[in-house]
Amino acid sequence: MTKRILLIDDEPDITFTIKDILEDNGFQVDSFNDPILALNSYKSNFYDLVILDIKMPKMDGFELYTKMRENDPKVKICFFTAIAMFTEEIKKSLRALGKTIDKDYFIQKPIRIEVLIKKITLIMNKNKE
Amino acid sequence: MRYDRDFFFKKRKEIGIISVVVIIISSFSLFFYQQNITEQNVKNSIFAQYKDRQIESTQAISEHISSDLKLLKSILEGIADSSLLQQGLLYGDRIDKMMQEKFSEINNVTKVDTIFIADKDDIVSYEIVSEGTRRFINIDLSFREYIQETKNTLRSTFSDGFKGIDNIERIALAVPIVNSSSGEFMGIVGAKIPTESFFSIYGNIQDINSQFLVVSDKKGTLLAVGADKTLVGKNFFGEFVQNFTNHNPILMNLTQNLLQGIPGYAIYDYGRGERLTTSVPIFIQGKPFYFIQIVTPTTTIYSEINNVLFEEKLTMFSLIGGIIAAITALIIVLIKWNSILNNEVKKRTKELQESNREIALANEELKVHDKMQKEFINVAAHELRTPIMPIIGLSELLYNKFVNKNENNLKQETLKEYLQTLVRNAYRLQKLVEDILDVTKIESRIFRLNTELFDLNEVISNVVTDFENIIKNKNSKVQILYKPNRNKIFVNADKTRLTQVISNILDNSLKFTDEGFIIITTRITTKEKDDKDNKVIVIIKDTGLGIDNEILPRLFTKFVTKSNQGTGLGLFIVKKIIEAHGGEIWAQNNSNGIGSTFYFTLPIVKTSEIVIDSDNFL
Repeated sequence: MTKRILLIDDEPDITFTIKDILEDNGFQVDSFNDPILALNSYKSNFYDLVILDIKMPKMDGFELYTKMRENDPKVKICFFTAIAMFTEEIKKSLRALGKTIDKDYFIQKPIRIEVLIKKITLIMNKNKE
Repeated sequence: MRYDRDFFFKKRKEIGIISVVVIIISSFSLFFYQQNITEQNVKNSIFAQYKDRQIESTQAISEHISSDLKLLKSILEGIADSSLLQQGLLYGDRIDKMMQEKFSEINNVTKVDTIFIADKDDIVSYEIVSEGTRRFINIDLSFREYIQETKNTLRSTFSDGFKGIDNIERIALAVPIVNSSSGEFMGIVGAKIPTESFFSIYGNIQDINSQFLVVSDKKGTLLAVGADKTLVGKNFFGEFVQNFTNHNPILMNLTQNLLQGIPGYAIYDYGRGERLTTSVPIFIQGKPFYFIQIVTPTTTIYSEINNVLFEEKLTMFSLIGGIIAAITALIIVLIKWNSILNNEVKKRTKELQESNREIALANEELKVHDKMQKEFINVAAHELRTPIMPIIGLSELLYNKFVNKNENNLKQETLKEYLQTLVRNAYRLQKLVEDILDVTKIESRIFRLNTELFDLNEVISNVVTDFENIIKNKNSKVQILYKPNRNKIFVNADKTRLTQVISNILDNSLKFTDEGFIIITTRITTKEKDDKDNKVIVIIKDTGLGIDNEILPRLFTKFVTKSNQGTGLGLFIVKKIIEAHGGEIWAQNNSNGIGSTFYFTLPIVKTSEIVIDSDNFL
């Protein structure tokens, strides 16, 4: 069964690129540049994986994460970001979130296609939380 | 404590002066106190010295008188032993001749007014007298005590005082003429001495107010008195003299002792001022015949002492004065030195505080800089990585499709879109790299302008032309309105940088303006008086979203952005470029609520100053 992925990133060039890459690798991808719009049109129990950018205007990735979890507690969500991993900024946001997230769920931009697919596959194969 | 220290610190000059005064006063008090004690000691000691000297001099005078009288005695004895008198010749020309010689010989030494020769029955046979003295030849002298004594003892005898018919007080010396072979008494050779003229040789017998001489005989008869002439011939113990001395017991005691042969001294006052009197007997051949007293008014002693003391005081005063002057000078120098040191310490402390403050400030700046640096790295990292993702992703995707999977059926449109995205992100990356390099240059203060003289109109026109092309390509509904200024706007500036400035501002306006206008105008303000006020204001007004009020105060600082794209470095760089040119930049939202306006100024070069022969401007 084709895995469904939701991709949210404020950069159209990123969503365009990643969507094509993932589709080329056999995933079904929906993408949004506006996090609010993405949240409003979110379908629960539909996606196998949600990929979230962190730094976005209007609503950042962590807030979006929280909101999505409220709607869909079981969905796998990973972060896809260009900011340095586990900087003070991210640690602070995680503390605010009151949750520890495995570092496997963080994917660093930019990333080679091969590595990206491996990471996504790894996350999808992880046991349900 | 602190207050006290400040008080002393502020008043140190006054304290210094007061200490000097206190030192002077206490020095002088101590000096006067010591002076009084020592003065009395010195007075006493000088007085004692004076007294001792007077005793010595009295002794010396006594010996002098004694030796003169002995000389007289030996001359008379010579006469008595002369061959003429030994032959029994007691008068006549030969005697006269010899006596004339002897008389003048004697009067060369002392004062004698009569020399006489008496026979064995005491009848004067010969007499030689000084001028003005009465002669008594053939008179009988046997009533004179000293004649009798001489005759009885056959020894030379000094008489007590007696008064002659002429009322002159005299003493006499009688030498017996004794036959040298038979021992028979043959007569007497005698000399009469007027006491006042005789003793005046040895001291003052005139003036009571200075040191004077008193001489008396064994009975106390006064032979010469400096105190008063009327006392001469009077007995000291008699009523007359005692009334004169007011029966002074000290003087009485002194005189009684003296007449018993005991020398001494006394200080007393019988109503005519304090006197120091020293008394010594005049011994002749071991027997006291006469008695001498030297009387000194102590005022003359004290005046001498005072003179000495005054000189001493003067010396002491100048010594103390010198010491005080030296101490004062030292204190002044110390105060001065102290004040110099204080100032130096103050200066150094201030410098230290200043440098501490600077260090703290620098430290603070460093912290801020450090924080900004971290923030910059974070933002820069994010912004640099973001465009790389499509570049890597799409180029790998294309590679996979064309090389690995050998897909040749890729849609022309998709391929075009891939390539456009690749180019766009590559440019975005390039722009970003340039901005970051600019910021780095600005912050490390190595930002330099390559200035040249040009017309600002040209630069604006070029940028506007570029943007019109961009707008056309984007199918944007924005229109740029620009009409170059009628006057040439000469600026001495960096052309590339100003192009960057105008591009950045236009880019910014375009980002927030979906439709409407971007209007560019230039205005020249000229004041002949002050060249600094010769400037151009470039105004870029748009009809876009306007500037977020939250952003507005920080608009030109780093990383401030409201757009989906961008580092927030553009306007920061713009501001730094304008400021480097000596201009200003600011922005505001339009009063009608639609869009915002950016203003920047640049100093312009006056047209009159431009060398026209340059080809560029013809």
